[in-house]
Amino acid sequence: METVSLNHITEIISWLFLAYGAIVCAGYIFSAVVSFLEIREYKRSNGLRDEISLLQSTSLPSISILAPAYNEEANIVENVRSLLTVNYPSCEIVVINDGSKDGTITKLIESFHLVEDDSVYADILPSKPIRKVYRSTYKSFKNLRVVDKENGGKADALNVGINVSKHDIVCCIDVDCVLESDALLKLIKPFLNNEKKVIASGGIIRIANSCTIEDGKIIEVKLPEKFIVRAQIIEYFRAFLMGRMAWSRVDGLLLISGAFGMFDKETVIEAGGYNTKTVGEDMELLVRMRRLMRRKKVDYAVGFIPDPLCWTEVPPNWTILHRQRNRWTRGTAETLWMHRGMIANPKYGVLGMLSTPYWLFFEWLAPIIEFLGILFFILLMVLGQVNWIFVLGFSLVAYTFAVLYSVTALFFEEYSFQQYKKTKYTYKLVLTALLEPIFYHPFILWSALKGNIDLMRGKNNWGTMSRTGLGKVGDKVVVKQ
Amino acid sequence: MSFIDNIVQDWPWPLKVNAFFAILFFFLVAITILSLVFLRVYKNRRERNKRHYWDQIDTFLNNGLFDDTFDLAKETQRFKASHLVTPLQKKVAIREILVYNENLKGESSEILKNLFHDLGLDEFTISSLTDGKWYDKAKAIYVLSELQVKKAKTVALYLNDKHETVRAQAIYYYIKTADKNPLGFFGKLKKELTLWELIQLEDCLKFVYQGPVPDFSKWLDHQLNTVLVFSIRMIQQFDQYEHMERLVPFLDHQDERVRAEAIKSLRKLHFEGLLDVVVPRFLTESRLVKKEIIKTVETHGDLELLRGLRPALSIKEEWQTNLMYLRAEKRMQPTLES
Repeated sequence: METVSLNHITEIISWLFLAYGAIVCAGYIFSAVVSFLEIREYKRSNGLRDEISLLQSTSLPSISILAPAYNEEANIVENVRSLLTVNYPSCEIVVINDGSKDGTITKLIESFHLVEDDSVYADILPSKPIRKVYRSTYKSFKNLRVVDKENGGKADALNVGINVSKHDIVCCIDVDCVLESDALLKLIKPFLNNEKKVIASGGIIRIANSCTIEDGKIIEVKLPEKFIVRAQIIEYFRAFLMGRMAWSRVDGLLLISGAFGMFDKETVIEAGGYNTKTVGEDMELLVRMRRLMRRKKVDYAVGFIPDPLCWTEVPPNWTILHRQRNRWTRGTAETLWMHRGMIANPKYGVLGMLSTPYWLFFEWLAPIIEFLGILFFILLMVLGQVNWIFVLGFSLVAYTFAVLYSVTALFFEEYSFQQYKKTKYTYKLVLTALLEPIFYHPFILWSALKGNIDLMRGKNNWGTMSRTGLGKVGDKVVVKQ
Repeated sequence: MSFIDNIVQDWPWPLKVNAFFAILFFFLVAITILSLVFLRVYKNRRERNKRHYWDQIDTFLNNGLFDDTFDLAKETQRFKASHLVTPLQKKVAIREILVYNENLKGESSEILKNLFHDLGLDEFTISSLTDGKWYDKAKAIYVLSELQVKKAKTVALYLNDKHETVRAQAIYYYIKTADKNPLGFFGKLKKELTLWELIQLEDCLKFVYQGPVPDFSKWLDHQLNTVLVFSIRMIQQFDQYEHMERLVPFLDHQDERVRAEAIKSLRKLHFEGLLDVVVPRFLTESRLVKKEIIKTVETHGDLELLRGLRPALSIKEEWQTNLMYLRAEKRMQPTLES
């Protein structure tokens, strides 16, 4: 009798896991189809005219680029110089030194000939105190302003940047990002080419590790040799080309990457600015802005541009990757908790009925369920209830589906932007896609689990995100792996 | 087959389902990888072909444009028969002609346009416009506009197209191909223009259109507010001082964008008496218009007049207007403490 009931329980649990897996697969297939339609339409709609000529227009709205910096002494000068080369007729660059403990501010003052700026600025969003605001005495750096403030984290630094910024559109960016020459023009287009009020727009983040960079621009896209970086490239393809493209099409986008996103300043301030109490401040802000718009019953939109606009360095080793993924998990969980009222709430339309449940079940819960599945499997082994033929069959289904999803993402990249030009890169990426579920995914699973454990323990910091940065090779600059 | 059947028939059904999906996904993976490789090979091959066609059309165009001994009429027919057979060859040829056209002016540009016709590429483009999908239509209109092919009546059909890209290209077509009256298409517009389209129009008008500067006041009675905004802005940008007076009624327009644009233009045109009209209405104006009024006082008024606006900036007033006021005050009196 006891064995029968145990069998029943294990069978029910097995079915639940299976049902979850089936729903995940269906969700991914749906997202792949929708993404494909979106990419195809974007490709068809764009590219008729090189819109770069519009950069001579005086009617384009001015933009404030906000770049927080913390302990960036080694690369800050090159990074700011790169930002200063950004191609846009009217923009200011606001670098916010978030109480760095190294010589970041000194380097900035010396290199850009900074003096105190006594312009009037807003004090709308609460933040840690500002020590000083600087501007350059040199005409060539007239668009640059540097804010030196007490340390308060990235969100706090961005809030200060928003307070100090002069223009109505703000572009939040990681200081070490490399932008395409028309990145700002492409990102502002949704704001101008829409009948609805656009509150934010984001773009695809590309991986700069191993790429050749000259004068702050990507000259040659190379595939990194390191497996860990290649696996992240595939992950980014999946996330951006298949995930966010689909969400953008159904107007369910909940996240604009903190590395590069443009916002309507007024809406950001009305929503209360970046939340300093979460490590997922980028996602949290957009969710809050969208809630605000819905509450105010304003017809609004969030833009998403699939072109490669911004290149960034990803963690080149397991330790830093672990910290990053740990943080991302905590950020997702915190945001979902803060906005739990939206989940499965029909009042929020797509956001309530699709986006937030997706993030809850397939982003945050997925690693936990996967881990519970492993524990359940061990339990079955202990109880001698494992049918190894079943295990083999199920593992094969899971593995082939994971690979299928990755190679589909590679296909989308090949179909759309084909940034990795050499044929050998395609083969290497396919090989990476075959190996990634076995050698990379378990580590990501562990990092996400650790993130949840840390969250429960009350850990609320970013962790050190050291970067190898830009290394000079002659006149050219290569982002080290 | 019976051997597999014998094995499978003893399996419990969940195992059969797993096996089915594992095999299905495996085949899909294989198909996707093959498609990926095929796409890469196809694109590489297409690129190679394109380069080859580019070389051919490039040589032909160079000879046609710059070699006086080249028998253009005869060679054009020969080239058309032998090198413009497939749609890809025609598309490459059109693209190359567009590149040349962008870099050449005067007589060479005229030869190019004639070649576009003589090579039958205009027929190909127009067939795309009439029979193609929406993106083919958009591309065709773009090509026609770049090469100044006069097909205004045909393109007019697309001015209110449901596809935004087609509609935008139709609008730009008119402005780029016009010898005079580049904004004539305004009369046919039924839908408001986006800010992006306004910027593109302005760009075409300033850098592409070659004819006489149009009289923008002609559109000041248009039913679309974005057309009004554009016309008011252009009156200022092209220094049409003679129409200044006609902008004044727009200070009372119901749309705040039109009022703000009117203030901005009148300010830049140095319209006398603007301050007398706009300052008294500061209290009741929208935020967008208030910003323009503050700028106007900063440009044409004095500190005393600016400070006169202060009582209207109540505590409940939006922070943007307050900030703008403080910045203006600071600039007008640099020694003021922030």
